[in-house]
Amino acid sequence: MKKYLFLIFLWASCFRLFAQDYNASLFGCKSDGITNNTGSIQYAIDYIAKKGGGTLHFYVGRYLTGSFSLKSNVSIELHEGAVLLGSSNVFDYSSLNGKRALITAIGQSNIQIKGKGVIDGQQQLLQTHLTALRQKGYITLSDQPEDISLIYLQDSKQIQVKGIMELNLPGAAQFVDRCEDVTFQGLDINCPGGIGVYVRNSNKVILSNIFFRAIERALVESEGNQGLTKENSRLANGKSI
Amino acid sequence: MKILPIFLIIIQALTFRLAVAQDYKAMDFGINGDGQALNTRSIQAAIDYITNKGGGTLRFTPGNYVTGSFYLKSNVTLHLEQGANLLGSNNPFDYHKDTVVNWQSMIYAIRQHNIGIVGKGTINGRGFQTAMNALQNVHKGIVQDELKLDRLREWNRPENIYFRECKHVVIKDITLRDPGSWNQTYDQCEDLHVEGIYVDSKSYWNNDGIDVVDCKNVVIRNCFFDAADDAICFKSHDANAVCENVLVENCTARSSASALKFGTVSRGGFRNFVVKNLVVYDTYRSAITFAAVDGGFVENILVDGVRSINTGNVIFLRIGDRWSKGKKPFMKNITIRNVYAEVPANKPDLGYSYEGPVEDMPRNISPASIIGLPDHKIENVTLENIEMVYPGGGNALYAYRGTDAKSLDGIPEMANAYPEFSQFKELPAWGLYIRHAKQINLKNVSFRIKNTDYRPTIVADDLEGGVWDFKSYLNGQVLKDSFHLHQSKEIKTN
Repeated sequence: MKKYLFLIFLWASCFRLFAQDYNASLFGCKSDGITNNTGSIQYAIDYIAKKGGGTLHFYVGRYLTGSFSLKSNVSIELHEGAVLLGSSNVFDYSSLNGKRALITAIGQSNIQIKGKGVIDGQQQLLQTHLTALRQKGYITLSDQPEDISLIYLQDSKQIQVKGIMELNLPGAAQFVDRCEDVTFQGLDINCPGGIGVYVRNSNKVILSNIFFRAIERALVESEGNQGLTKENSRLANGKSI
Repeated sequence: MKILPIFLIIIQALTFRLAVAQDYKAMDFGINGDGQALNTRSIQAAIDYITNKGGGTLRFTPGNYVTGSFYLKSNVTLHLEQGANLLGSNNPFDYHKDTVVNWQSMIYAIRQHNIGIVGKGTINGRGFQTAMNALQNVHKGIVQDELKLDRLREWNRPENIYFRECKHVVIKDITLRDPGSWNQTYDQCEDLHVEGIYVDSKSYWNNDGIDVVDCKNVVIRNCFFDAADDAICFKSHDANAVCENVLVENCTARSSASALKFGTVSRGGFRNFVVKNLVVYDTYRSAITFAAVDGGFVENILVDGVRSINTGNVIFLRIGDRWSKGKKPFMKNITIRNVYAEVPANKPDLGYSYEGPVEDMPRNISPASIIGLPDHKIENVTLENIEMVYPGGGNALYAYRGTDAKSLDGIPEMANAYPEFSQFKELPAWGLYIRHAKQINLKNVSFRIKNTDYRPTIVADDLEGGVWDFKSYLNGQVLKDSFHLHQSKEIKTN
């Protein structure tokens, strides 16, 4: 038994060794709320993944971005005052497996999105852009904003989303599909007309200490879920979910 | 024979005037307004020449004059004509970090007198790009900076203007834009006259509007400030110096921090201020913040006439204890009168460049507050003819602070925290919260909300003395039992 513990310790310390911290500015990310940082953020994630994993830190500021993909062992920390600002241009959102989202993880593991910061989907501006495009006939009905989530997780495991405030996206703030061991904890979700968490075909999903404000539906449990835990999570009117 | 001495006097007077008022054209010194040439050294040569000749004006005709750091000298005035732009170089190495003030700036003046920057032209620091370039220099490893919050410390980014220990300073009519750090600092200056300037300063972090540090005899009049950080900011860096005898008149301020602020650095003190006719709008934090958190004092202050629209907080008076080093702070004799203020439910500075940072929630809308420390009470504050309009709607399920003894005593003192109206998170009142104070008077003060709030209008904790004449309304209906007293005494209410 002791031997195993030692091995676990060794494994853990190795992992620590690789888990480095990187500032967003190292990759040229700008906090001005105007510069589109998608390229920098995606490069940073890919780079950190190649280096064996670590955390990409965003400090106070507004970081505009389009869609980017998470990679195994790369975490994102949004420190207090840091806002990950979803682009208001619908073309900045890529469609992966038919799903549009600001942040996607497909087939990845061991990722945390954490901190006291904010993810803001800028719903109104996005909606304005979409409406204009649709009126001119440039995009079809299938490009509805309802398709866009803040976070889309598919075929992934050991994912944690902790402490963040999530604002303004009319789709599912987080969409979880065929995942295992996913934790949403200490979130403040404010997505008018949207869904807080959409879960399907997933195991061991934990929702803990979540406050749902101005939201259409807090939780949608679709088919095939096992072990969905809800604790101390409620709506603005006090109802538990 | 009598005429000769008079003639001599006239000649003398004329030559004196000529010497002082002589006008020099910038282009005559090879200063080039093509937007490309780096003019640092030719501007410096011109200033040195003029000061050595007894003074005069260096006149910039329309053009784009790129420059790094230079020093303004005694009896020299820079005149920027309308259309003349003094542009900060984007190369961080074109700036100097002065050893007296230990801070970067484009225009310095250290221990000079009779200096000025006037005219309808612009000083544009172009600080965002310079700050970005400096940041990459740190990542390259060729510049050292701790990169706190993933940006260079404010003293390692250039301001537009930094004057220290100067006398008779005139800043008039100019436009100031986009520094890399604070915008303009006047530090231990005397007879500072700032009039009719337009400040658009929201290109990067710490872009204050104006910083007046430990100055004497100051007039700031008819100015407009739109700033990412504090707009009109008085500081006291030196524990043995005081910011005093100040008039701020007919100014407009927009800020993603506070509009009118004393502090944050408040080591010496602030006294004898008159602030008249201040308009504040779209401001993220407080319209008025007076902070004595580093051992300094605040005394004899009159604020008369404030219109504060779409601003996150109306008044925040605070004694703290960050870097006091044994000095005893105090705050007393403050009158704030003739104020109309509207506090919004949403973020007031949405959409401005470098918006104020969203804090770690939860917190319902915060009240105006007067918060001292148990051993250092705020004394003798009068709020007169004031109307504050709040959105209400405080939700106890989102954030809660009750008025029972345990809840009130549970509010942390946070003596050594950065002073901010939101620092205590949820406060137990929606209109006004008072703690550790003596003699707080309310004369004709009204508080209004549009939606029910679970909190009372006013909570006072450890308040000794006060005459309160106030009314509280929910949608025009008078709210009864609208205040709560805790460990307080000698308060007379209407």
